[in-house]
Amino acid sequence: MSDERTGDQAVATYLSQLERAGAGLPPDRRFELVQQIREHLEAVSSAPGATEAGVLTAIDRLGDPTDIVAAEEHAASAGTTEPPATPGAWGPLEVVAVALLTVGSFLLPVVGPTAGLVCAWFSRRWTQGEKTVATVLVAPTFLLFGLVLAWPFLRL
Amino acid sequence: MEADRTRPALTQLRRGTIEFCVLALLRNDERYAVDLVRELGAVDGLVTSEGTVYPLLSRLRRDGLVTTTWRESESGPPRRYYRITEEGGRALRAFADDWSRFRDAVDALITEEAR
Repeated sequence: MSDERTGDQAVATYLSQLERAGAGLPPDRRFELVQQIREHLEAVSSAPGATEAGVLTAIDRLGDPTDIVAAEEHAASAGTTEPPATPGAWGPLEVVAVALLTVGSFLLPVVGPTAGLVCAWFSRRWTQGEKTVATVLVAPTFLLFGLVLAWPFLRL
Repeated sequence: MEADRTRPALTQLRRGTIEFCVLALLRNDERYAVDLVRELGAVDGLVTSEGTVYPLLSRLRRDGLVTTTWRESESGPPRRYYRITEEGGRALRAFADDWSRFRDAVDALITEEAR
């Protein structure tokens, strides 16, 4: 098998069309979608005896990128057990998460907010983006706490 | 590809049932993503195109109805496999009951109409 896969150019063109069609999707969704389609086409093009015509047929069967993006938009709004986050959508898990991330940071440094982040990531009410923001905001406080602990040694 | 806009009822039916068709295909065994997508694409009238199945698979995973695992492949890149979860199994059984009642009711009315 050669390193160059069959129909590489057609695959690249199709994937960039999909990227463009999905420009309005949340970045994590778009990434996952493009990744799935890429895997599908790589499987076809790297199969033993793959032909350019076979790859083109696979692309044709995947369909119009705008249809795939429309399906993604629909799937995102049609979750059965994960309704789109609504204002006031707070359950016990979310309350505990926020308590641990705020008050918990003072009572139990590092341990409290870590548990809070775990709760936050288990939440089905908060979106992936919100969880990422929480993690990014909290992470520097760990560093800060570490610095405070290390301060006496650093002074020496 | 079918002209969806002229057949809104079919589009709605497809949207409401396709995820359970995916769960049904996974009922007994885990499946390789590409095979799963092809199999669904081959059923007449079920999906508009194979590519539209992937967003659905992502959502089923986010909803905890399926899980994914990676397997090494001899002929190419690692392969993503889908497997139904217990929650997915429950959702499938509940839908199967609803569906048979719904189908019988609609059949009875539509058959009557045709007479």
